[in-house]
Amino acid sequence: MAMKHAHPSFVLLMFLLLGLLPFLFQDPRALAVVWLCNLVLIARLGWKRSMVKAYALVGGVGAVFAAITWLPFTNVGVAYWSGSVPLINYPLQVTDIGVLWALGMGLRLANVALLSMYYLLSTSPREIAMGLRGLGVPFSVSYLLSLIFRFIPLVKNDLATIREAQMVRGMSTVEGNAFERIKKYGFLLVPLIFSSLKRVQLIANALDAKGFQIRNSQHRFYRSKRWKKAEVVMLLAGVCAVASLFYIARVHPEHIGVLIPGRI
Amino acid sequence: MSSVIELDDVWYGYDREKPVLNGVSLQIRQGEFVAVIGGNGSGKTTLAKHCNGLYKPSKGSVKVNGCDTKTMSTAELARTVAYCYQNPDHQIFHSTIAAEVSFGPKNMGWPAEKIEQAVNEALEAVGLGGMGEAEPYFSSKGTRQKIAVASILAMKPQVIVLDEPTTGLDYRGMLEMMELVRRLHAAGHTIIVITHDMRLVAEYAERVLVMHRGSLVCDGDPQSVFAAPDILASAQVEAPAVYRFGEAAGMKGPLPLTLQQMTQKIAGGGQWR
Repeated sequence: MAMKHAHPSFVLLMFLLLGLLPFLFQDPRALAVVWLCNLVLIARLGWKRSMVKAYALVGGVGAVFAAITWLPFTNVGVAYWSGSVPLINYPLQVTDIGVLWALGMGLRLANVALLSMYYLLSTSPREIAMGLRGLGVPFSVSYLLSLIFRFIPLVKNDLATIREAQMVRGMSTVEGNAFERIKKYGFLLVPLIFSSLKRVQLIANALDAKGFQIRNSQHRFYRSKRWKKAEVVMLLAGVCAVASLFYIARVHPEHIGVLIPGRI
Repeated sequence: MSSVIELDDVWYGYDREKPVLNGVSLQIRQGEFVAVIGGNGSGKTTLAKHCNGLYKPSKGSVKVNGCDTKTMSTAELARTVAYCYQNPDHQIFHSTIAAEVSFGPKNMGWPAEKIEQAVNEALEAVGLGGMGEAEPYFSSKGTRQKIAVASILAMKPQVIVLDEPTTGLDYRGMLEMMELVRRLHAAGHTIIVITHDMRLVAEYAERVLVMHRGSLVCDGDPQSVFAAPDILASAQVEAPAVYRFGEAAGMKGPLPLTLQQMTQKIAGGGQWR
């Protein structure tokens, strides 16, 4: 995969630049184009089946939730419906701009979820640490951050084992009403917290045993990648493209792809 | 003896291209003491998790008391096949041992008196009688392992699957755990133990299943399994030291599997056949 051979800082910066795009626009038509472009890019980079499923869940549910929650709170445009929250009389309305804004917010979240999930799931903790280090973040800070990302799949594994361990004692997470099912998840949390705390303690001991220090200017990676000319050129082109789009969307008098100027 | 678990050409894979089980067929009969051995990643745990419906075969069938596991949930199968995890900390969440042990029976919907009786019996069986109100989390690993066994024992299962029950235990803890397993077997439970400890296999198991790369490569009593060095080597396991010593010393007849059998053989005792 091309990403494996690229400089980790280049990959990180490119994902950051791509992640900025959804925040430049508000109009769902512009954001849909950005989302489709990102989708094509990620598909070409190659994503695993498990990530597709996870993205459908996180990105899909998140996008729908964001759209629904924004819909009644946008008070700009022609109202299709209006009302208020009982008791506190907070005004609610569904407007033409509000519908577009809500769709845009959903697409914005879908974009950010896509890029961040792909980057975190396809980049090793070491590459994240090297990428951050390349941007001037102290090694110890970048390493600790990467450890947090490393921790997520471990906790996920533990949770699956704990869930199985309770299932073999007759617990069923699919039976009962919503409250009962939520309560059953509580049975998973206590062992998960304990095992996670133990794991944190183990990792901390392992770091101490290997002489890890918060301030260690001596740390070097054995195989640090060098920036390639093509990467520098691509990065500069990316910065210019984002700056141009920022100008078109936010500074240019037409405000292309922007529904409510002045709001991010 | 009637078969309690029946696997017929079971295939399973976490990933479609890499099957973890390749057409495993076997029967486990009521009251057997079975040890499942093999190298890491050989499919031992995956095989065991098919016995209680945690995993459903992608091809073939698994039957528990004649019922296909595909038609039953793990919660339903837990009444018949109990699974004890290697790490007891993955299941303990109550603040007292009794509450922890009663979790399974409560899920079964038993009445309070029956639950109390089952909990007391289970705690007595594992040697934790009278400790019901103690805090489980801060007890020793051996005690936590016993709590885990008691918590499945309270559900009065027909079959008990133990995944590496002696891992992390000191010698005394290991002996106590295996004596407990022996008592459970004597009480009529069918026992399936996943282990890397060949001494334990030689000492306690009646039947040994050797797994290698997802296939069942050997199935027999310990004596016959340990007499197949090529299969053991390919499955990355080794006969117990006592057996290998007997082999190296050129002993005739069935080679001793345990220290006791070895001393009897050397002393020419009449009990050794």
